[in-house]
Amino acid sequence: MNRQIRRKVIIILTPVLASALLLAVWETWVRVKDVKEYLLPTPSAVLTALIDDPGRYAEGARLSLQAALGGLLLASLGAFILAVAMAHSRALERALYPPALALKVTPVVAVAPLFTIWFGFGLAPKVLIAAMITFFPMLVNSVVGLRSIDPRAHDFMRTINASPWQIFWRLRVPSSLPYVFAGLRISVPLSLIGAVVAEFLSGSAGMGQIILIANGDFDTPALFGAIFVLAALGIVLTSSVALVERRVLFWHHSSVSL
Amino acid sequence: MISTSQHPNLSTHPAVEVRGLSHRYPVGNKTVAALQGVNLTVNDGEFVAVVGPSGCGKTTLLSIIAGLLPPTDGQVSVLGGDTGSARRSQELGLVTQDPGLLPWLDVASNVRLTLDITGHVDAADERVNELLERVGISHFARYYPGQLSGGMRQRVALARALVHHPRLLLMDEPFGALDEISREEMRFELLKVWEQERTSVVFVTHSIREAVLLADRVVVINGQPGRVTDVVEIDLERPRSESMEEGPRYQSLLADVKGLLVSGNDPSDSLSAVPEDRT
Repeated sequence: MNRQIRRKVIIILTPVLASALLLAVWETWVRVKDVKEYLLPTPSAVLTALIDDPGRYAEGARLSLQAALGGLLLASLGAFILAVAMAHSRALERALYPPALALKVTPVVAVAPLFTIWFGFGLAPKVLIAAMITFFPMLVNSVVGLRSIDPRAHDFMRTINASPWQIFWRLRVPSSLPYVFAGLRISVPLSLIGAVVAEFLSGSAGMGQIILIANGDFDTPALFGAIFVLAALGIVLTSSVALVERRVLFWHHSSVSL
Repeated sequence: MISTSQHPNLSTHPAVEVRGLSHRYPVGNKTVAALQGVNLTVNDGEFVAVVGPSGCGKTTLLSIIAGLLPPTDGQVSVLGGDTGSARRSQELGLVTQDPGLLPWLDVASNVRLTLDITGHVDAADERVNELLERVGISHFARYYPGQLSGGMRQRVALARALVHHPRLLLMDEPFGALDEISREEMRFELLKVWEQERTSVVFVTHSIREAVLLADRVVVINGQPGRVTDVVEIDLERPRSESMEEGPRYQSLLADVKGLLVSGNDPSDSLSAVPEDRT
């Protein structure tokens, strides 16, 4: 019992200590070498920038997160529905794969200005760009997942005359979940990229805009502040997916990894 | 549909009646024959084992009886109806070597799934418990398949295949992946359950010992494409026991069946040695 607690403390403490050490080395190195602040600020200067105006970063984080999650949700739902159709029909898969691939290989930055023209500067173009960048990984993983049913389980269900509907809900959908979660792990960081890129290009409010302004002002500590906030968002989102995944996929061998 | 499977009436039809069955399947732009002119009868309540070397089409035969695969030629009647009708009226149970349990459901839910799908929802939990008890895994009802040994998983598969009172149980090498000790144990476990549930059984295996120990009749399939070359009546008394395996009658039946299986080394030679169908 005691040993278990000690092990847990060690598991949590190790990465915290490593990060603290890294920041300490950074701080010392910048101070000793007297590096110019606009090139590389000290971690303490970055922290000061964050503390000076926490509301601004919180609001930026909220807006970017909203766009990223909205896009991810839209892409996941759309991709899964399309994947159901594609998993049931090879012809449909052949027909739909090229446009899906075209959407994937087209650089998102090339399309973003168009979305701004069409949908203005609000949430909509940001959501769409985040959706566009996450759609393909979700689609491919969902199709593979929906096809990954155990043929023995399928035979058994057919032998007791399960309806296509029962086979879909009780076999296909649960079988697809490990792949859907693998897609989510890829897509979560991509959705943040999509949101920030959209903000860069349209200049609408969010972490992307904070970065743009800080960059224009040569305010490198604020720039680093924004980077730290984005990194933290990415970590929180990825860990949340991992947490949900471990709950949902307790039966799957992949669920032991983070 | 539900009421007929709930009260199996001992009808005059044989459980399975196969006449002149052939099956061919395409490989590239050629067709390969898996079964040719197969005749087979399984009487109501009878336990029939099908033995043959690997690749003789045993599994194909079982899939056709299950209604999962349409035959290329010949007549197949299952429980008095055409192929697929027994499947549609949910009177079949299937146990395969790799049973394909659903890993996200615990043992009880895996067994219950059959009842949910076949619509036997009245007193479902009682029936699930009864079956789990019968196959000796009631203590593992809340375990997940990934936490069980191969033998345990086959017990779950057996419970899942019998829980809805099917009239015909189809088994495809069910103990083929088990170690020798669990295999032996599962054979008697199956017999015990079968004495209580009394369905007709088609049991595909490549173990001659298993076939002779379990079955009322052993159907021998040989060749490529597979043909039924012999049928051996197993007149050992029931219930079968481990001590029978030492007895002279068992030993002589074993030797008979062994002699009827053509060793698959030289197919051209073996085909010429095949006697006429005696089904």
